[in-house]
Amino acid sequence: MKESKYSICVTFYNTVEAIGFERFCEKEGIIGRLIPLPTEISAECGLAFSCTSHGKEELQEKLSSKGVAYLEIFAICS
Amino acid sequence: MAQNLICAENMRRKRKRRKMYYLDYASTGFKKPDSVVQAVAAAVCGGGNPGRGFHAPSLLASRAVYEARETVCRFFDGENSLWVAFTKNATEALNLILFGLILPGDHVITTKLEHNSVLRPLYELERRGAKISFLPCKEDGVLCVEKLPELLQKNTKLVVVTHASNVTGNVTKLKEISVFCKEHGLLFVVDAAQTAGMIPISMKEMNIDALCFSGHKSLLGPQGIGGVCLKPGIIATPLLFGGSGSQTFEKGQPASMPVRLEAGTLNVPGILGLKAGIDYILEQGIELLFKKAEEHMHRFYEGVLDIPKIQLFGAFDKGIRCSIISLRVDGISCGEVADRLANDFFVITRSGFHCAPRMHEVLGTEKTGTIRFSFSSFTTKEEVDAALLALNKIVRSKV
Repeated sequence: MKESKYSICVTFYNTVEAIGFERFCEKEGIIGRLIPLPTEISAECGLAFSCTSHGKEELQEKLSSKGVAYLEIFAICS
Repeated sequence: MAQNLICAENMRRKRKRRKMYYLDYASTGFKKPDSVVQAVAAAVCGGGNPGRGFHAPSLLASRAVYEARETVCRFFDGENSLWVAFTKNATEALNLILFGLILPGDHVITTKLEHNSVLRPLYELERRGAKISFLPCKEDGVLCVEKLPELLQKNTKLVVVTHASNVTGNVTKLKEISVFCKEHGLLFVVDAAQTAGMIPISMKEMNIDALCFSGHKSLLGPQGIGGVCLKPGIIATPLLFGGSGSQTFEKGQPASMPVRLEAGTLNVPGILGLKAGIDYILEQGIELLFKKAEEHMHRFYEGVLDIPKIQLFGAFDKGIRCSIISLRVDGISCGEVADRLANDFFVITRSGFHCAPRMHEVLGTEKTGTIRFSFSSFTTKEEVDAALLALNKIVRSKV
């Protein structure tokens, strides 16, 4: 049986927020990159951040303590 | 006809060889740091559209514009760079804020110092049902801030003031007005067209809700760029509607900042030129640049005192002021003086009413206008002395 893999995807209200988020991740050592918004999810902005170094809860915790702007965090099963 | 064209071209070439003494920095910055020119050129020569895709050119442009937002926000001590919106100039920023915040029935307090970039939007808002009161000023153009309480009404929503008169150079004491606004729950909007880049501004310290600025004057950027820094939570109705790079299927403009106020493609060369200008100011030190400009203004002021028939306007003994001197020569029209300065001596000034009609009414110059000399850190002593010599010759030729 094939094991399910989850990727973490962060969405935004607009592209400026997305760039700010990318900059924050660079400073904080959160690994990932900006991608086109996956079709499985909907958001206000066509850019999303695919995170490969943190789980959903871990990332949520880190972001809430820093007051970083974003819309939602999704764990997408692939 | 052909002969005339040749003569005109010869004249142009002759003039081109002559040194020009530019003293109209209150209109626009004439000399720019090389880094500004390079930043604009680099942006023009290649770059994507920020916020319009995930490919490398677009992302590179988005990142560069983001850095510029951060720079602007830090420079004005704002709270959050997402609340910096770029516009084409201070006028557009002021229109954006005044039309975005004032509704029919609202009362607005402004001052007699204002430029038409504040006055004309307010007159239009008045036509639509808003009410305006004007804070008076003394004969030397200094605001009577103590009279603010007399203007307060139950429906007063907002106070909009210029940080410095573009006619006299007098600087407004923002702190006193901000205290009044805070006490009475009023929004505080500042037109920093003349001071941004010349005088340090802290939005937090001065409790400013919206700071509108021009990029091409003391911020040393190119023409065609300006903006507004908002205190987070100040929600202005957009003035422009259109593409935002997000929420494509929504009929309305996105609610989130800054795209809410930035419909359409941004002026990336202007924004990156503006950033380079601010970086230059930060490297050199705003206090040092201010001091240099101020020294030139004082040199000119002292020199003018020795020339007969000159009438000066503004307060010169009341602390900090912008490097602007407005004057009038008895018996010679301002237009004639400015024309002779430009054509006989190649000294560039600005004569007339400077888009500030109420200021001229207060000064008693509504019929004559004034001649404005404005200085920057790029001004040289040679330019100041050339202007003094030229002015002296023009005046004495009529004595």
